[in-house]
Amino acid sequence: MNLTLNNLSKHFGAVKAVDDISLSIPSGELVALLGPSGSGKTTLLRIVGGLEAADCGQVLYAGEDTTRWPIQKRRAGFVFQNYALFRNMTVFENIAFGLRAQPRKQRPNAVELKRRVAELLYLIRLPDLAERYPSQLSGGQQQRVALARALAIEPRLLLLDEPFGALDAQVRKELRRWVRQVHDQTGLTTLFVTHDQDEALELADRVVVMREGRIEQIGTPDEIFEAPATRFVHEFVGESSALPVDVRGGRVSYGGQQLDIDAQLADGPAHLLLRPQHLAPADTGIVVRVDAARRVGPRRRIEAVTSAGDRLECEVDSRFETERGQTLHLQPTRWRLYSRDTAGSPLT
Amino acid sequence: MGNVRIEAVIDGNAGGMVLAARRVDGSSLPTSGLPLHAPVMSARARPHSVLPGFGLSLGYTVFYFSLIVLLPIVAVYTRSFADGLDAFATAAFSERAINAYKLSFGAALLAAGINAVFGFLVAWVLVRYRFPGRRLLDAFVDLPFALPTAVAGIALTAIYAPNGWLGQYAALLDWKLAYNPVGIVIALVFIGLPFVVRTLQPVIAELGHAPEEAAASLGAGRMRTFARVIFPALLPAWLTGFALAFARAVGEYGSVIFIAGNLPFVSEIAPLLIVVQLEQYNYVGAAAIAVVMLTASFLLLLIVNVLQAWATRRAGVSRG
Repeated sequence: MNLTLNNLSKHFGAVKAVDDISLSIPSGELVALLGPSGSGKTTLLRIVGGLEAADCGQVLYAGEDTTRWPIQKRRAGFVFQNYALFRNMTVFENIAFGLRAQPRKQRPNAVELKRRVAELLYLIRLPDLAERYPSQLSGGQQQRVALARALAIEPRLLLLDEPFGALDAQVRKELRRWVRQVHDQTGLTTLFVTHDQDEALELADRVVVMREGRIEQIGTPDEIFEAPATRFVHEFVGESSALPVDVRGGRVSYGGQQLDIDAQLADGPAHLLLRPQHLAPADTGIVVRVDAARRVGPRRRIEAVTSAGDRLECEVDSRFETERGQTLHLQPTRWRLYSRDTAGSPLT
Repeated sequence: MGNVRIEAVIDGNAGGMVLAARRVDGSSLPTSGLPLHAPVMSARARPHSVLPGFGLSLGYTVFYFSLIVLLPIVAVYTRSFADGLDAFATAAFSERAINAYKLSFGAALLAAGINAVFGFLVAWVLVRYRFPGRRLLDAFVDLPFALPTAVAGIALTAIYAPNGWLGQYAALLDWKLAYNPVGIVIALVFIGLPFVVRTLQPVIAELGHAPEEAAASLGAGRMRTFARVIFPALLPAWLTGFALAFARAVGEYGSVIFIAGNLPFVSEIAPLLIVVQLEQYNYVGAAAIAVVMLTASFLLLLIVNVLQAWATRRAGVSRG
């Protein structure tokens, strides 16, 4: 089912949680809503699911305006941040809840209900835990039950709010892959909210980066990471250092030093954004003093300071030896430039 | 000490008495029976605990509890049977006494029931909604706790008596709200309200919106959501609140006697009957009525506790 959002806005008091958001998601796509806390991503998800009413704008399910539909009618499978399992029910009862709540005509009979729940228990790989209570399960297991419960109603789309937020790293990783598998099996249009850029980039077909209730950028994980539309996206989706530079006639200078970078950017102050992997020690380049050098896994991470006091991080081969206080030249291999006065209009 | 597996030697001939027990790590535990099969055990080999003073504090607890709670109960029982069984039965089950029991327990049950319903509403509103004056209202809930019962009794009588603020209008409809069992129930509802509100409030707050939202997103209507999700989750606390309100209502004296009218056979509560007996120097009679009330209260609370344990299990709270 394709999902369309038209000009959605939502205020909480004076705060604009969602500010005029339009978005179109084709059927079967797995989309991440990525942003820091307070960026409005959860509110947007809740509006799509009908848990929150938008002040204005439309939510279209397969072209049909569902904005005023009651939540029960939407059939949106919602997985909550802390699972929100029914503690007084067994795993079986939790999963069966949605089936039993269906209108009498569509409600499956006892045999069919058992079969459907058993199928879902198999899907979430917990066939033996049907009679357990939620409090007897681990976090990862609870999360899978929550997903099965949402899938039981054969939802038109799946909405997940920080689905892996409360889990430890190992379980997160496993569940991520598993969610991807389930998505590929069911072909459900899926929206999930996360503040973890790794999770968004690894799992999603497309990532929507949000900031202060607005969409900052929409794109595939590659586009988001390789060509961030704004400085905010650049800094949010990966490590980066920013240098204030000046652009004059297509040349970039930093602290009076001409850099070997060409810019197709209007003259004026700009920010040069550099990822640690895209800086290499060379004979020429930005002059820095090494502040610290640490081994990070198989690589070496150099923290350096320019003469103007800006900090730069650089990742090099672990065989590259350096020490605190040493002067280096760092040559950017790839970079992004953003005008300093406005957040947008990036050009390489 | 965490979870330590315990092996016990149980003797079937000794009525299943634990004769010896030891932790699997080899150290021994004190038991009530004879340590026949236990490894060599001496008084000094007791498991060391980082928290000192177990023996002293347990001794103190038992002594204190006996002095404050058990001893008076025993005294009431022995006192009531001082003149033999016949005297006890005559005093405890006279027609007047039976009417008083019926009134006391009936009115208390009814009042606790009313409080369970409306106390839930108050608790729900206080937790779920934000409105001007909420904090003030919240503070007022405790008023029946804090008010001396005699003050409550006078206040209620001033309102509900046939010439009172509300009583005069009720009188126009031929309703009598004071000096009869209705007045007693009104007083008991007043003093019992905070028990239900205060036990439910934290549980409602802890439940949060998420289970409700989850139920709705799965297609459940409001009735189903309440009956299947909210009610079972609140039931243990609800029963606790009900039991507390009930227990308080059974024992309530001060606020009731002002509004009850205290007519024997009609609006005379059991605690008042005890006082009446005492005033007539009929100590055995007073004690006999006390014993019946004590026993009945104990049984009712036992039932509520069993129900509560069952509801707690069903709510999945104690599992872990």
